[in-house]
Amino acid sequence: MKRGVAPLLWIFGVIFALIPLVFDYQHERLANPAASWISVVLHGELLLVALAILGDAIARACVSDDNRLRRAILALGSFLVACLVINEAVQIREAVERFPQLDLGSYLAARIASDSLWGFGFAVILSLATLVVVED
Amino acid sequence: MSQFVALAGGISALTAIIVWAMAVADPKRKQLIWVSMTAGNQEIRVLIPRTSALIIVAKLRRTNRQSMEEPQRVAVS
Repeated sequence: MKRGVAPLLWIFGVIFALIPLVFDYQHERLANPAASWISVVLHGELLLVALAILGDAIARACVSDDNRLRRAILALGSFLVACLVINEAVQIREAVERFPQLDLGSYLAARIASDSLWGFGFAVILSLATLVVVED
Repeated sequence: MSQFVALAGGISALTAIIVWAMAVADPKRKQLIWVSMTAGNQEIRVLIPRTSALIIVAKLRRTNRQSMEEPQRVAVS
């Protein structure tokens, strides 16, 4: 594959995985015109995409024929971040299940949304770094 | 940001920096290359990123073609 094509394909795949969230946002807006993007990421979908991206990074690091130490660092880093993302998703799930009548339009909702967004951003950075180093 | 997400950020940044530094320093990848420039009796050897080296070498070769003076020798190793 030509150099630089793999990261572009990867970015396309991530954007493609985020398309359902756009439809979800449209759906929320139809039901409630005042709905914001926060309501879309409240259920942890963004963390699910982040986990898929990290799984891809771990697999790439494991099967590539790059330097062994570099592969081990990448796989371990991705695995640790994946564990933390799972922990975050479980915490969101627990909060929503334990307090079904919780007013999620408050401070907690903003915090969950911000954490999801940060978690997704960190997963993207680490996976892209893995891709660039392993595929280069 | 919760402490777990902050920890994830720290691990991501640390991993990316370590791996990038290892990749750049790896002699097999030739991300950094020695460029030696000789003009007269003077020789300068500098370690620079491969992309910059290629641009500099291309520019020097173009300058040498246009110049009527004694050409400089540029070697990339």
